[in-house]
Amino acid sequence: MTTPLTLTPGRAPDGAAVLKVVGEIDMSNTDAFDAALDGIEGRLVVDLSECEYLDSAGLSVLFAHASRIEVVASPVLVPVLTFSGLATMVTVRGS
Amino acid sequence: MGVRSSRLRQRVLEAVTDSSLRELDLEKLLEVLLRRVQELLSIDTATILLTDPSGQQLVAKATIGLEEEIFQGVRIPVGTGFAGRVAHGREPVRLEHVDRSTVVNPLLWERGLRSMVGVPMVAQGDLTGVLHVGSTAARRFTDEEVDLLQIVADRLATAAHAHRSRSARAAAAMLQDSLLPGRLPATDRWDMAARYVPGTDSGVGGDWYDVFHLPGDRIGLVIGDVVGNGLSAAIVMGRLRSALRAYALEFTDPAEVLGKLDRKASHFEDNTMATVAYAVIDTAARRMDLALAGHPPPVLAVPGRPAEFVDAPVGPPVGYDLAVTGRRSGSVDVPRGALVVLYTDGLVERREQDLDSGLEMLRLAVMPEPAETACIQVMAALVGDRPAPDDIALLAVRHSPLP
Repeated sequence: MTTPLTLTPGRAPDGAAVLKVVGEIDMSNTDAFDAALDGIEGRLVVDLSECEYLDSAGLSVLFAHASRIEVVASPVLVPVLTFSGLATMVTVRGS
Repeated sequence: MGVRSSRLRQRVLEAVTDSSLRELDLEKLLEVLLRRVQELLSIDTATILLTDPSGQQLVAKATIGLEEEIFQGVRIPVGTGFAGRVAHGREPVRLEHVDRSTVVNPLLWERGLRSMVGVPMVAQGDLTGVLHVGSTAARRFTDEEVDLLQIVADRLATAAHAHRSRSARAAAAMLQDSLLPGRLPATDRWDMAARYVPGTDSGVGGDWYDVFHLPGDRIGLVIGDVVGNGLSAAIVMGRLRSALRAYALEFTDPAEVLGKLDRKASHFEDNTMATVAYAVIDTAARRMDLALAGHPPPVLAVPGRPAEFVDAPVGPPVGYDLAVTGRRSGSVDVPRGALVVLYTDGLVERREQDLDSGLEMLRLAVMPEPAETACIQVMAALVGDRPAPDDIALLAVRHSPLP
């Protein structure tokens, strides 16, 4: 069973590439999440402000793209991103 | 459809639905069904190749008439040759010439086969193998024969798939059992206890804990979590566990050990991420050095003070080559009677509750008690009667308060 997740590529007002993530990311849908990141070239913002859950499989996708992403996180995700060490490598902004 | 063919169909259906098949192990089942296929379709050879764990190669597993394939361990890459084409396209393939141009495996033309047909074995969307049959007389296999062969292949695929899942689960559980320390090393002043609980969703996963003596009155404590679950995560866990032990003997700084582990994991384990907390307690100085790779910090409970999370810099997880160098360790006193608790995220993370609340529940549950008591308390407070979806590892170490 796949957990509900919508992934919408777009642009921020300043022109930066954005991937908007709505729903929950877990092992059942990380492949789709990874493919969506792969589909966007260069630097991008991963907008997780409406993402309510991110498991370690989802985190591993963020780490795999750590050199080129910035993350906007919902308050629920901030501790997850902090304890995982992602916040030491990637700019993480609260939403 | 003629009378003869509908009778044949009836016999094939009976052959695959026969309830006595259920009692056979996979090897015997393959053999029995091959024999039935041979009788029903009057063919000279019938062979089953199963995919290997990578899914990239087919390995001959059972045959009638091509025994050399088994003896010689024939392997066919998915995508090449006759069986490889069947596997790649997941469609039946008929051959009316068997020679160098159509098959890779010389055994087939050396056997004198003239016509062949192969069908894919697919169960629950996974390719499990290929069934092929051959005739030494020139023969055109009819659509119906191909159809019937596919029915047999579907039955074989279901059995192979179930067998594979069962074996993988059993192997992962055995691997976990054999790698987690059966008895924790005892010392007169430090007592230890641990728990490992497989997840209800994940089954046995990639969580592990480890405790070992190090030269110079030091004890190494490890807790880690390989992303993913099942056999593949357990295998990676086993390799990381022994690599970490090897580096622990060579380097005293936990951060350096995790840096080496990162390099090893990044080089050898393709696209695998693991979080690890590695602590070294100097038992004479009662001091603990600690490095964190994407892992939540241990809890320290000192008598007379509220329990707290050990303040140590957190580096990225191992496996993506993100911090082979530049990791930093923290250091903290472990006073007389103090307890240290290491854990994996399965203990504190639940979908319906944020991580901060889980961590706070844990902090409140940890008291400077004997290690076994602490494990009981923590598991009761955080798991209680709600089974955890993800696997949980917990390790508690306490310094005896007696003088």
